[in-house]
Parts: sequence; structure tokens; C-alpha cells
Amino acid sequence: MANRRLEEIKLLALCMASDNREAFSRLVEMHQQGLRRFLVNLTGGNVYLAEDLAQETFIKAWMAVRNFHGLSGFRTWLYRIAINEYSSWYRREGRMAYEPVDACRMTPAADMHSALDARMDVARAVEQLPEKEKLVTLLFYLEELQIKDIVKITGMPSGTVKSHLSRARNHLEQYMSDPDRF
Amino acid sequence: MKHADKHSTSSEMHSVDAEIAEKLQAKLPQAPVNPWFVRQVMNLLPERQRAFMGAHWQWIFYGFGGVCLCGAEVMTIVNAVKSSFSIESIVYMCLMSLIMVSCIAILGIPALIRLFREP
Repeated sequence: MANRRLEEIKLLALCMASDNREAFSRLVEMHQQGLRRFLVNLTGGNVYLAEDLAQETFIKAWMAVRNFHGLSGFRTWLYRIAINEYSSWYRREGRMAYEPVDACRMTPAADMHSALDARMDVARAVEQLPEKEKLVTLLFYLEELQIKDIVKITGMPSGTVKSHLSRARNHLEQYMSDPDRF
Repeated sequence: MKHADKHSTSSEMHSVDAEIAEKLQAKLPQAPVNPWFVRQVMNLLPERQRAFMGAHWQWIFYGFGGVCLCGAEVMTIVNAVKSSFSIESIVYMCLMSLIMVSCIAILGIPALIRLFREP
């Protein structure tokens, strides 16, 4: 983890000092899978939209990397840009229809039917959450970010983040025990 | 009792959190593998505008600093000549030269790299 952090700092320094595209492509490689996964889940399984948003996020990051002061980690800063991109899209286009994820393609399990059900249940449970609860849930549980990082990313006060998490936790527990209620 | 209850509630919450995290990480959809994603992003990256076009105040201060440094360098050389190159004056002259070269290198080398880098 420390090596990865050091490498990230070195790459960022190269980008900021000399517009080094190779260094930036390495940063994209390091963060693209996690960011795309987050956006796939944030957009309710819309893979194409997630890819577009991820690309826009990295482009914006490249343009603004000189303004990155390093007070938060690069990942935190990147996710903040991603969420701003998502919010801009949401304001412009409105909520698109939910496209169920093709879980068959991603499930190598022998018992594909029950594995597919399980994935759809969890995805549906998260999708049912109110927007802010869903955002905080994905950042905390899926991306394993700390509360202080979530505060920096979302701009919400710490108490509000914890409150959303607490409600999301209750909703998820209730949904997973009785999906037919929703 | 209250403290014990609070402690047990807190450890329950951590185990609930761990359970939810494990479930979400295992069962939420992953992004499909896209070996071309990095290449796509790099192809879309625009050229960044040169900073000096917008940061004119920054360059005004750099210029002022450069003039002061050059003035100080000239003064140390003149003092060295006037004092018939005493040891002290030579030391000051060398130190001043070193400072000037370092400042030019700090600003100049990244600028040269940017200039010669392939667009």
C-alpha cells in the first residue's frame, strides 16, 4: 500500500511538473477498474453511461491536475470529480431506465440460477435506496472509503454521512430479509 | 451496564458493516473488462494550455525576482573587484552564482522539458 502511494505521488509530480502523459496513463490504469465499477453501480447498471462518465472524469482530472493540492488523496479527488460528472449528467438528462446488469456473463458459478438471483437481489437492494444513501453506501461498503474521505468527496457534513449510512444499513438489512416488501 | 451495552452495540455494528461490505463487494456488478479503456482515455486527452499564457502575474514576479538576482550577482562581482578579490568576496560571489543557477534550473528545466516534449 505504501509503495503504491509513493508511486502515485511520483506519477502525480511528473504530471504536474511536465505534463507527462505516460505518467497520467499509469494513473488511469491504477484507478480505472475501481472507478468504473463504482460508476456502474451508481448508474444502476448502465455500463455505457458508466464508461462515458469514467472517461469524462479522467479527462477533467488531466485538465485540472495542476490544481490538485494533495490535501486529500488522488483517489478521493478523482471520485469527487466522478460524482460531479454524474450529478451534471443527472441534471441534464434525468434518470435513465434501469438496465439490469448481465450477471450471467460475470458469474462463473456452477449453480448459475441461484448465483444470478443473489446478485440481482443485492443490486436491486442497493438500487432501491434513495440517491444519497446509495452514494454513501457505495463509497463506504464497496469502495471501502473512510467517513472523512466520503465527507471530502460528497461535501456532506460528517453527521449527515453517518446518518445516511445508518439508514442505508437498515434498509439493506430489511430488504435482504424480505425483498417482497419493496 | 450502559457502557457494556454501548460497547456490544458498537461491535455488532462493525460486524454488520463487515457483513454488508463483504456481500456488496462479492455480489454487486463489476465493470466489464475493457483492455482499451486507457488507450481511449489517452486519445481523448486534449492538449493542456501553457500555464504562462494565463499566469501573467506569476511571470511578472518571476521576472522581478530574476532582475533582483542579476542585480545582486553584479553587485557581488563589483565588490569582489573593488576588494581585489578577497577570500570573503569570492565566497559571496560563488554563493550568489550558485543561487542564481539553482533558481534558473528550478524554473528553466521543467519549461525546457515541456517545450521539447512531443505534443
